Amino acid sequence: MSPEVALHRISPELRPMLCSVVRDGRVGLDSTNCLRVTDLKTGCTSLTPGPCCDRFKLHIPYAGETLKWDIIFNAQYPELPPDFIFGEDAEFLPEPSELPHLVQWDAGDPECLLQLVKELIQQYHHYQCQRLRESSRLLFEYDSLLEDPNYGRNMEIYAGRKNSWTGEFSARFLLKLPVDFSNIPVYLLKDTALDPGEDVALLSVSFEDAEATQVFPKLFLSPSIEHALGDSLALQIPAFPSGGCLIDYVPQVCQILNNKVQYVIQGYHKRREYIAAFLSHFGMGVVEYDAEGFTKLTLLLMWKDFCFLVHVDLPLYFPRDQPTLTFQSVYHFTNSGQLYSQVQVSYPYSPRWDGNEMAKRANYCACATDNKDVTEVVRSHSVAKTET
Amino acid sequence: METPEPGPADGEERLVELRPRTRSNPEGAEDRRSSTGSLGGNSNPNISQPAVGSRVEGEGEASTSDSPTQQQPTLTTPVPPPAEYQLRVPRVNCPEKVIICLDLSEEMSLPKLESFNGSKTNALNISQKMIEMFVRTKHKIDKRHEFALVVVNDDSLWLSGFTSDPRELCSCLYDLETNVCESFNLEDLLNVIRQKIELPSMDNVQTIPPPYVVRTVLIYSRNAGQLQFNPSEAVSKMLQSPYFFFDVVYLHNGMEEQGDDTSWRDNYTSFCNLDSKGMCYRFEVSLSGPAIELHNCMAKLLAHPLQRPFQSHASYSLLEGEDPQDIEATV
Repeated sequence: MSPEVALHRISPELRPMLCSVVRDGRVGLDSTNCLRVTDLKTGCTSLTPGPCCDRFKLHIPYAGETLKWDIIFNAQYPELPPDFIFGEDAEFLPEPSELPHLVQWDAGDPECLLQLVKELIQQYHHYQCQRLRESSRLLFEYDSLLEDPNYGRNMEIYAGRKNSWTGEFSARFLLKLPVDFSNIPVYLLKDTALDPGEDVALLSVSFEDAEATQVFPKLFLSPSIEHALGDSLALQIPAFPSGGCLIDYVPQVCQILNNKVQYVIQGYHKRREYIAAFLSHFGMGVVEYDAEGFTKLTLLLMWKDFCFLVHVDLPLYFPRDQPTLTFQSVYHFTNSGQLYSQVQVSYPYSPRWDGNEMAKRANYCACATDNKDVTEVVRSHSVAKTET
Repeated sequence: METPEPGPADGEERLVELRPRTRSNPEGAEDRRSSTGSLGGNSNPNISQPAVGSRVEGEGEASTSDSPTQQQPTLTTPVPPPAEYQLRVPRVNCPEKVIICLDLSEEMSLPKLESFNGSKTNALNISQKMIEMFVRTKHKIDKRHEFALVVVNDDSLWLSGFTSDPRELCSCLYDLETNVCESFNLEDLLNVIRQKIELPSMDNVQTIPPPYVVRTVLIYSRNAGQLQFNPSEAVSKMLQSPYFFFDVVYLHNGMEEQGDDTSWRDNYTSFCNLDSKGMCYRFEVSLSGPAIELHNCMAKLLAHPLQRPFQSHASYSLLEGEDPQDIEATV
């Protein structure tokens, strides 16, 4: 159900509160997933003129699961706070005194319901942590993380009910990783309109058994961060070591992410330096260059009366990865009508050279080898191509 | 994982390290360290900065007063106008809307150009090929660039565009025929263009890059008669916009007229005088010369108008073996 439909059908007195929930309402660590509303129903008689829906199911992302809570208002008495049914968690009985927005329910405050849901999630989290007591091993994991201020405040725990066949207990930890993404160059974080949420990295660790012998970690990144750091295949995290524990493992993953972020930032600076050096050497013949991310540059060079273009493409993990030089003729097309160009990868290159050294070496390379190739091209194509 | 330290090369000025534009520093790479409004700071304190951002020599381009080599035997193009006329737009490779205006007068089909293998070919033929090269290359460099085709007879006709697909433009390119033209109406051409474009609004020209720029490339070959041009206010305004560029390739018969007839040089000078900002490129090529000259002009016109140097500073030669002059670059 789209938010617009839900807002259309809800009873008018309840609409402001539902609005703040469905429009950008985020309650947990996973800010990339919004709250969703389904099963919008009414408790009024069918003779009541619509819209008069006053109850719905709210889908809440939590610790990698989706909680489905029924929220039940009464359209006849819209000033009253709603009732909740917490899915199948019949044993979850939050203490009302821990829910300030319930105790002081303000039907006139559009944010009231959203705040109450947040408080309930907090209580739910405590409830789940209590259930960890069934496994001393997992309780230990929890306690050790709790003590560390980097992680302790940003956890969601889901302790699943025991598997009735095997009697096994399982749990999932969802942690927000304290990695600083704020220095990633903005051009890499594309389309912030589509991804206005916080840039976040979440680590989900599933314990399939109480003895922590089957542990499955997974890394989730907000879409723009995933794009900025290269595709997800490049972001492989190590398997959870057997006998290991989270308090050792989680910092390791943070370190890997931090390194990647640093590498991307460094790459930006290095590309910028490279382009600056090339402009310094060849700048009077610049055709175009990427002035935002410094990922590409095209130059026009001339040898005697003969012009040719050089397209330089800089990869994301430059300088580790070598730039591609493509030489293109301005006079000829191929037999299939494409621009006549030739990619050059085997030129002298070392990631340890600075931008200036790279530009100088590329200069020598262009002078030495390709002039011969280029004049060959002219000679061999001159008869075939220049006539209509 | 090795992270090499960025350091200055021997004898090379270190570029000012600016923080990249990040969410925590939205100004970032456009931090202003000097009043020139350039994207990078100028790290050479010895070069005096004019008060208004300008591209006069010494600011960030060639720091010597003469270009290394003069390859083309062209007329000296006028020097850039003084600082007060300059509005320096940030040197960003924003998308271009390129309007290619092709003259279809008779002169274009005279077989006088000398092609690679020595046979004669005509200017229309070469123009078609070089326009195709131009749009395909621009498209390869940046797929956001858009193109349009206008043909010029006695009046101007907008044939195609804007499109970012080079094939669409090229499909109109090869069915053209020349004919005898009585006159050239530059005002009409510029009006046709003006009606089809909308120039970006000019807030903060020096700090905010435009969403796109508009460039007209006119390939023109008539020699008879003087260029009559009394622009309306709207057309003048368009010509003066910092986001509008009017590049010209003038194919002339190379002959100096005697008496009252105007020579091609006068016409060429008229075109040059249209450029009040000093930012446009103009080329003159002889119709009876080598075709390669014409190809080379089009290649030089590939350059992005916001990133290319002043035409008088442009230099394309490869320097073989010796250390190139270290020209300061700002990015």
